[in-house]
Amino acid sequence: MEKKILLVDDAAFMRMMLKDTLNKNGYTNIIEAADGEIACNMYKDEKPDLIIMDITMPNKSGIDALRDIKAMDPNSKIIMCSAMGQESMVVEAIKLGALDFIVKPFKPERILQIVNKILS
Amino acid sequence: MSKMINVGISDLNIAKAPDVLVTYALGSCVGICLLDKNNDIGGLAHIMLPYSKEAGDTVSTNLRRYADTGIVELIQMMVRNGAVLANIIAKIAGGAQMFQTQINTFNIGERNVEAVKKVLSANRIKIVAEDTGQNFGRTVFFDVKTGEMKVKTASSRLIVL
Amino acid sequence: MTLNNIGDLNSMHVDVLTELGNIGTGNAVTSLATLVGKEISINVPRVRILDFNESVQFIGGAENIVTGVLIRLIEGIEGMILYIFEDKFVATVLKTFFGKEFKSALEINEMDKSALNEIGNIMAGAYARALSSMTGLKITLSTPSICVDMAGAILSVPAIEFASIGDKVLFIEDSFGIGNDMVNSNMILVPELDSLNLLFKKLGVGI
Repeated sequence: MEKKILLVDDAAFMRMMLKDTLNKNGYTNIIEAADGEIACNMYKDEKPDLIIMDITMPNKSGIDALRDIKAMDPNSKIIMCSAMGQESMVVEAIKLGALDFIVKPFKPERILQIVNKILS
Repeated sequence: MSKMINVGISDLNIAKAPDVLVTYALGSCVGICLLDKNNDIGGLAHIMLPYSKEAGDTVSTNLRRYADTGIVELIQMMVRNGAVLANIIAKIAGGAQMFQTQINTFNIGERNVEAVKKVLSANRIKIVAEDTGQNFGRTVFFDVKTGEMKVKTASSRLIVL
Repeated sequence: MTLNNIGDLNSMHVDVLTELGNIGTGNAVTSLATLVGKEISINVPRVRILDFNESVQFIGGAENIVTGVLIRLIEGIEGMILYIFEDKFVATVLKTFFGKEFKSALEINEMDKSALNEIGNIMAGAYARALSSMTGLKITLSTPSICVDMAGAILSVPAIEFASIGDKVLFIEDSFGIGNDMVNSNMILVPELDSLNLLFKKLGVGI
């Protein structure tokens, strides 16, 4: 069965770019959320195999959504993807259970590498 | 021969008919046009902030930037030059919120408009026209002879109030 | 002794801020290059301390239509970053990402705006990383917000917000080459006074 990936970012443009990259590489079951609140609600119903999550978002930040989704499901697979990439933030995200942290902007190969590794 | 008198941010000026007062690109600032039609004299103030008292220690030496002190100074300037307070009416524009709510901690545009209205009311000046709020910049031309306030925007919307 | 006003900054402070400007811009432009997938060459950024009217004139005058992207710094260093993108920059972005021909900044659509917001977000993130690594402070950004309108109206936002710390703003002028085009982007940095003092303290710069 095809893997389902949830993209969480308030920037429609970034979701579009990610979706494009993933589609071109065989991942066509992509769902989207524009903030952490929506992501948390969607998680329950959709149970995606992987979440790619921005940090800076309105209503609920990616860090808070990470925490909440991990609490709902400790086996959830989440990678953070943010323009803020300071060391303390990366450490915090990993401590909260994120599998990886990609700093924007990233080369498409990089995100694919990580997605492939996690979903294989 | 009428001339255009430019009023910059945190500033004010008066004019006699047929001159035109202009202030450009009001964002969250508010432009206040005051007119004494009987005596052919008008004024325009471009204020940035609501109340000088709120600024505390950091209050600027330029009191024209605040609605409370700026409007009062404009009224006094007009009266010194022949205006009669009882005749004065007001037209106001500006007080927009240029960027979305998440960014501003408070809506300064709205607060400026509120303060302007309070100050005008306290001085018994009636506001006869208003183009305020929303989310775009405005340039105001105030023709002292006709009493018209023309409000121009980036999208070339031009209204005459 | 602490700074009470942006106008108190002396030439040494300006040097430090210029160096931060260099590093920050370097990071930001590298990020931008990765995003657009093109080589970008940078000229050394110029840091100026300008008052409101000077800044407005600098970006083409009060009624000149510009694209502004605003990001707040909300932790560590507090304040605002406002990017002013000139038409040429916007045109290059739209061409690169969407293959679109640019007509007017007033006609860009929601997706175009999202792209520009994201660019502001990424560049500010790179700048914050530079500040963070130099000061050891954790710096958090707000979501970005975009406005296409008259320069005077857009600049009034940082001017009003920080009126209490003086009438001057830090203006970082970036000029870079994307492919064969030279474009300018200007960044206005408006730090809270406490943050500016903290910044200099962390950098070991005396007042």
